[in-house]
Formats: sequence, structure tokens, C-alpha cells
Amino acid sequence: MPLVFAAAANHAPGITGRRYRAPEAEREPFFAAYAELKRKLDAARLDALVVIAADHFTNFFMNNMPAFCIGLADRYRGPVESSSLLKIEPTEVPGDQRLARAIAAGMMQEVDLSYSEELVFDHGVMVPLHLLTPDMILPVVPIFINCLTGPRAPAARCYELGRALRRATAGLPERIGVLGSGGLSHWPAVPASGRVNAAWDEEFLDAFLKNDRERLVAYRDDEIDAAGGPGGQEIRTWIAVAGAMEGRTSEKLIYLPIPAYAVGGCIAVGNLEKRAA
Amino acid sequence: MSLYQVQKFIFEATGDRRLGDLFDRDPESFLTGYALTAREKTALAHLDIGTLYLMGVHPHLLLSLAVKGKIHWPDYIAALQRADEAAGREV
Ligand SMILES: [Fe+2]
Repeated sequence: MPLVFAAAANHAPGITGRRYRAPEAEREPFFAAYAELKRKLDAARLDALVVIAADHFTNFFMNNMPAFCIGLADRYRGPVESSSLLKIEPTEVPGDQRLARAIAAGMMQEVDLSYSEELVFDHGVMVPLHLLTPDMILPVVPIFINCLTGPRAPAARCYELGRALRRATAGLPERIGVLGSGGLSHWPAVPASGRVNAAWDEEFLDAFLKNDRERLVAYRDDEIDAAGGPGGQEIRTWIAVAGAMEGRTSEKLIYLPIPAYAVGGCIAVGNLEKRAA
Repeated sequence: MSLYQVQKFIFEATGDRRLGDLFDRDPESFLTGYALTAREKTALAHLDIGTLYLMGVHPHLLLSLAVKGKIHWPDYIAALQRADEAAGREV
């Protein structure tokens, strides 16, 4: 059946690791928005959640860097970061090998994916899951997009990845949702950490909410680096979600710069019934 | 310069507990497994974050190395800032 849930949110480690470092005026509305997203996800009664995320040298290195990699395992471990840093205890996340294989086979009609049966999860997957599926009983199918070092798949290819996901899932009986995890502008692990380019974020978010394919696929790596920082490359995960719900708009649950988390807190959920203008 | 080898070393020493322990026990001989210059070996053996940063090591890898070496965030960022200043780079 067609996707029954689509959303995107950021995953900066500070969200869980330094949760109380942010002033209440920023923390409260951000976590309220994440709770609202959780309610919507629960209401969708999913059989599985596809998480489109960025890797942070946890699974991949430049010896063999996949542009796109889908996980085919029955279970995953995470987070790799210590619980003292991330404030998330190591846990097991269920996968669904049979479903993941079906999705991968369908997607490969249109995009080239690598696949892996031994992925581990870092904050990029675990922060949103910790907040959205804390029981860790919902099977997850991870898809990683290389957002780290170039050459990366350009924005248009990420949109195509999403389209392929939508087509691959449409004929399956399961109730499947998709979550993009990453971005928006941020400068991780450098002195500029904590900087947020709110104007650039809002501009991107506007294109995402309207599902304006032309604007979304026009983003180029050098411009992203300059305006959105190295972490801005993770907008690819959002662009893929837009591709997965092409022709549909999204609703903003929050946008609020939170320097303590080193990102603009940003969460959006797809209006899967409403067509884009 | 062999930035790839420097980064590969960090990826392996921080991602694989067994290799990481090996490095902790005997950094010099562990580093011989990588095609590194003397300067690179010294920077890695001494966890010289600022020098590695200026060499162009990806910040995600650099932070992993700092965490492994129990260098805390304020010291890590201070090392980067000093390196930026020394190199006359605008932050
Ligand atoms: Fe990230």
C-alpha cells in the first residue's frame, strides 16, 4: 500500500546528550514537537519504519563509501556512542530482513543501492528512534545516504531514491512509514559548532514543505557547505523523503534555532492525503 | 602527506575496540601498519588534535579520536581554535 507516514527531523547528539543545556523556552517546544510527531507515528499503526539517515564514519569509510546503502538485517545494535555522551543506553533495534529485501529489490529497479547485513546505528538513527519508538519494537529498515565526503550523490539522485522507495513500497501489503534524519544547517565538531543559519534553514524548509522538487534538487554541495556547513549536507535525507512523497506537502511541527544542540530544531510531517499545489 | 592513511588509522583505532586497545598498548608499532610520514605518526601518537585538524582530518573522525583519548569537548574545541589562529585562519 502507499506510504502511510512520512516525516523528517534532526538528530544532533546534543538533543539527547545535552538535553537540559538548552533553555526551557527552546527545549519545551522542541520536545513537544517531537512528542507530537510520536503521536502521529503511533496513529499510523506502522508495520515498519524506513529510516533514511546519514552515517558518521560509523559504518562506512572512504575505502568503500556507498552513495546509498540499505540494511537487510533482522536486528541492529546502537548507539555506538557511549551512554554518558548520548544519554541513550545500548539497545537492540529490530529489523525485518524479508521486508527489507523486498524493498531493496523494488528500489533497485530504479536506483543502485549497496546493502549490508551488519549495520550498527549511531546518533543519526538512535536519537530520533529514542524519541519516537522508545520501546524499540517497531521494525526498522535503515537506508544510509553518504553525506560525509564527496563525491556524494547529488540532490536530484536523493530525490530519485525517495521516488524509488515509494514505488517499491506501494505494492507491498505492510503499513510502511519513512523518516528522514539529518540537517539542517550545522557545523559539527568544529569551532563554529553551535552556529545556525536560520535564513538558509527556513528557505530549505519552505521548499521541503511545498515539496518543490525544482528547488530541492537545485542544492549543490559547494553552496550547502558555505551556507549550511558540513552538517548541511544531511538535507539529502529530507530531499529523499520529499521524493518518497512527491506531489504531497508537509506540515511544519517546529523550526527553532537551538544553539545548545548545535542545530536549528526542525521537525516536519507529511500531509499524505493532500496534494501539492 | 597521506591524509587518507591518517584518517584510515583513526577510523580503525576508534571503530574497533580490539585495534584501539592495541594502539593504546603500543602506539609506535601499531602505527607502522599505516603508510604515514614521521610528522603524521607523531601527531597521532600524541593525539595532537590541532595538527591533525590542520592536516584536514574530517571533524567527525577527529572528535572520535578525542573521545577515545579522553580529551573533553572544551579542550578539543580550544585545540582547534588555537590551530586556526596559528594558521591565520578566520573562524
Ligand atoms: Fe549528522
